[in-house]
Amino acid sequence: MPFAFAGKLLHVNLTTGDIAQKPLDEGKVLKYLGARGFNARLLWELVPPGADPLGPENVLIFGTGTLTGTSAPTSGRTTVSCKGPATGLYLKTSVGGHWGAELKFAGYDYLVIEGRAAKPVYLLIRDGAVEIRDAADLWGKDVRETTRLIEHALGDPDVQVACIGPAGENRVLFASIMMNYYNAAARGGVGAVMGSKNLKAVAVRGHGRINVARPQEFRRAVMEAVEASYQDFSAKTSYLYGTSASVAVINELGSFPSFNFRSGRIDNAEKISGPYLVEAGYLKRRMGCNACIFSCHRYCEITSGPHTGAYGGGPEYETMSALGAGCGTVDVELVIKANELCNIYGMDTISAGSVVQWAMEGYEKGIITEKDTEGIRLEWGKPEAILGLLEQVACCRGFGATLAGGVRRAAETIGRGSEKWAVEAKGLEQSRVETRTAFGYALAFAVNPRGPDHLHTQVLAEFGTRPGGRALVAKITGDERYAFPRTLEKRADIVRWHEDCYAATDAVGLCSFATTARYGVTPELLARLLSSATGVDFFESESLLLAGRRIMNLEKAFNVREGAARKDDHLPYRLMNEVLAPPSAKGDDRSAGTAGRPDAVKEQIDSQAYLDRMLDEYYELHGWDKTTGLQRCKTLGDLDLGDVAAELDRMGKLAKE
Amino acid sequence: MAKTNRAINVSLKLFNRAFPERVSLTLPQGARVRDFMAKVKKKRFGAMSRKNSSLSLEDMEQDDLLLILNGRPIQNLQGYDTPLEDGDVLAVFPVMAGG
Repeated sequence: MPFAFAGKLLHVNLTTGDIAQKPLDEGKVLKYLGARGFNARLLWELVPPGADPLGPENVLIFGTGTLTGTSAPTSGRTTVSCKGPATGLYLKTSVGGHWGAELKFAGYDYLVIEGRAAKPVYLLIRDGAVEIRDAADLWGKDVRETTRLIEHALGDPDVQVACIGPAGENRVLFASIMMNYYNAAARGGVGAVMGSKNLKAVAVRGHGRINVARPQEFRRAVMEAVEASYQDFSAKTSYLYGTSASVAVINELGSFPSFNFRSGRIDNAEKISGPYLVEAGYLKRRMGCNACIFSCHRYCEITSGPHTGAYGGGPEYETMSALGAGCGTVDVELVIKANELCNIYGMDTISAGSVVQWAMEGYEKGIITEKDTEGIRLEWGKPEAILGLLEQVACCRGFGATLAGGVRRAAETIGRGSEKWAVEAKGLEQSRVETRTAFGYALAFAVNPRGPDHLHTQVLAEFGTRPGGRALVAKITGDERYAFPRTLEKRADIVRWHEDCYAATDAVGLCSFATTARYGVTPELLARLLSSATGVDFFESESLLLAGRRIMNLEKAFNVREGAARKDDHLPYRLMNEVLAPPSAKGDDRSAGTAGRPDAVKEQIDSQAYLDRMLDEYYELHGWDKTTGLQRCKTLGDLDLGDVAAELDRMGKLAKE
Repeated sequence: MAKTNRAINVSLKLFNRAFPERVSLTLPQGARVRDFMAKVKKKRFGAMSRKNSSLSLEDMEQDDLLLILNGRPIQNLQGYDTPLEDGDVLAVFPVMAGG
C-alpha cells in the first residue's frame, strides 16, 4: 500500500450491481495531488460530453484528500464531484466532517458511483467489504431519520453516513449530500445526482490506519503547521464565534448581502452573528472536522419560543446571509429553524435562501402572488414565507416545484424581467459575497468553473487587512499596494495564484482556512507535509502550485468540452448593473492604502468594461485565447495535459496558437 | 467660512460583545486614528481567549485588530496615520477570517 493512501479505488455500478476494487495508481493520483484533482481526471474520463447530469451516464465521485486520515491539521476534507445539474457543467463540492477519513480507514481512497439502481438502495462499506442494500424503508425519510435508521440497523453509532433527504430524492437542483447530520456537500446539486441514481446513502465504517512515509519529518511539519496557524489571532475568533463572526464586520463594510443583494447592510445584523449565538445561549457546543485545529463549526439549539426544539450544525456566515439578511430578517431563531429544515431535507442553504428571496422580491413587485404560492404571503422576513417555501421546494410541491430548479430556471418560467434579480451565473446562485466592492472576488466568481462562489478561490488577501495577506500580495505582484480590493490592477495575478493554491489545498484534503484564509500553512509547508506523508519528494512549492494549475485547467477543459466559452464567464445581472450604496455618506478622499494607493481605483464594479479588462488579463496570464476563452494546445501541453488538448482539438474546441 | 482649530467628534463602535459599545470622543483637529486609539486603549474585549479572559485594546497587537473607518478598513486608507474628521465613525473588531 502506498504511503498516505488506503490504496484502493472502489467502482460501484448501480445499473449492473457490479462492484470492482482497483489498486490505486499512485503516480496518476499524485499528478493531480488527489481528491478534487484526481476526481476531475476521473470525471473527464468517465462522463461523456453532453451527458444528462441526472441520467445514468453521469458519475458521482467521492474523493478523499491525500492527507485525509492523517494528523495533518484540517485534513478532514473530501471532494464530491460530478457533472452539475444546476449548471450542466463541471461540479465539485468540498465537505468536512469525518466521513472521508472513515472511508480511508475502511480501505478506499475513492468511491465512484456509476449507473442508476432500479430501486432505492444504499451502500454499506465495512472494512473493505461492500454491499448494495435495499433502501425501500429509507426512501422518503429525512437526513436525520435516515442516518439514525442506518446507525440502528447496523448497531453502530460510529458509522459515518452520507445521505440525501427528500430534496435529493425529488431532484431539487440544489440538493445536498449530508455527512453525519451536520456537514454538507452542498453546492450545485450533488444530492440531486445521488437521488437520480436511486442511491439514498453511503454508510462507511473502518478500523484501518493510514501510514506516512517519513513519520518524524511529517510530525515536525504537522507541529510547524499547528504553531503557524495559531500565530494568527483569527484562529481564536474562529473557535469562539465560528464563520458567522464575520457578519457584523461585513455589515460595517456595507457588503453584507441583504434583501436579495439590493443592499449591503441590514439593521441589527449583530443579531445573526456568531457572538450573539454565544451570548444569547443558542450555541451549545463547538465542533471540528477530522484533524481540525480551529473548530469553527457550531451546534445550536432553540429551547423556548415558537421554534423550540430546532437544532443543528451552524448556522454559518453564508446561511446567516442567505436565510437571514437576504430574506430581510435578523430573527436568529428563524434562521436556525430554516437552517434545520435545509439540513434535514438536504438542501444547500445558499441556493435555498436565494430562491426564497428572489420570490420575495417578485412578490413585492406583484409578479408572484398568493395564487402562485398556495396562499403564502411572501413578505420580507416573514417566518411563514421562508419556512413554508422551503418545505414546498424540498417536496417540489406547488410553487416550490418552480423554485426547485434554482433562480435561473424560475426566472425563465416567470419571466417579466425577473431574471434581473435572479442573482446567479452559469445557473448557480451566487454565494454571499458582495463582488461589486471586491474586484478580485468579482473576477474569481466570474471564471469559477462551477459558478459564482467563494469555495474555488478565496482572495481574502486582496482586502489588505492582514499582514499575511499583504505579504502574499507583495509576493504575487511585487508590490504590497495592490492589497486593495477596489482596483482593477493585478487582480488576474492575485486570482490565478489563489486558484492554484486553493486547488492544491482541496486536493491534498486540507481546509482553505489553513491556507488562503489564514496563511499559516504556506504552499511550501503544504508541500513538506505531502512529501513526508507520501515519500514522493518532487512536491516543492512550485510543483505543488503547478499541479493546482493543472487541476484548474482540467476543470476548465471539462466545461469547454461541454460548450462553455468566455460568454459564460460573467456575473449576475444585478451585480453588474445596479449600484450598491456606499458604506458611508463620507467619501473616500483619505484613501491612500498603507502602502500607497494603486491605480485604476473604482468605487465598485458596475460595468462590463471593468470585468472585461480583468478577464482579458486573466485569460492572457493563463495562456488562453482572450477572445473565445478557449485553451491553447501549448498551455495544456505545458501542464502535461496533452491528451486533453488532443480531445479538445478533435472537437474543434481548442484556440488557435 | 474656513474652519480653524475646532475640535472634532469621533464615534467609537467597539465590538467587544455581540452589540457594540458606543462612545463619542472629542479630539483636536488634526488627530489621527492612532491618537484616537491611544485614548480608548483601556477598553476591553470580553472572552477573547480560550480561557474566557478579556483583553484590553492595549494588550492586543495592532495586527490583531480590525479597524473600519466609515465603512473602509484603515489599511485601505492611511492605516493608523489616517486623519480623522468631524463625524467619523470608527468600528473596532478583533480580526477574523473566513466565511
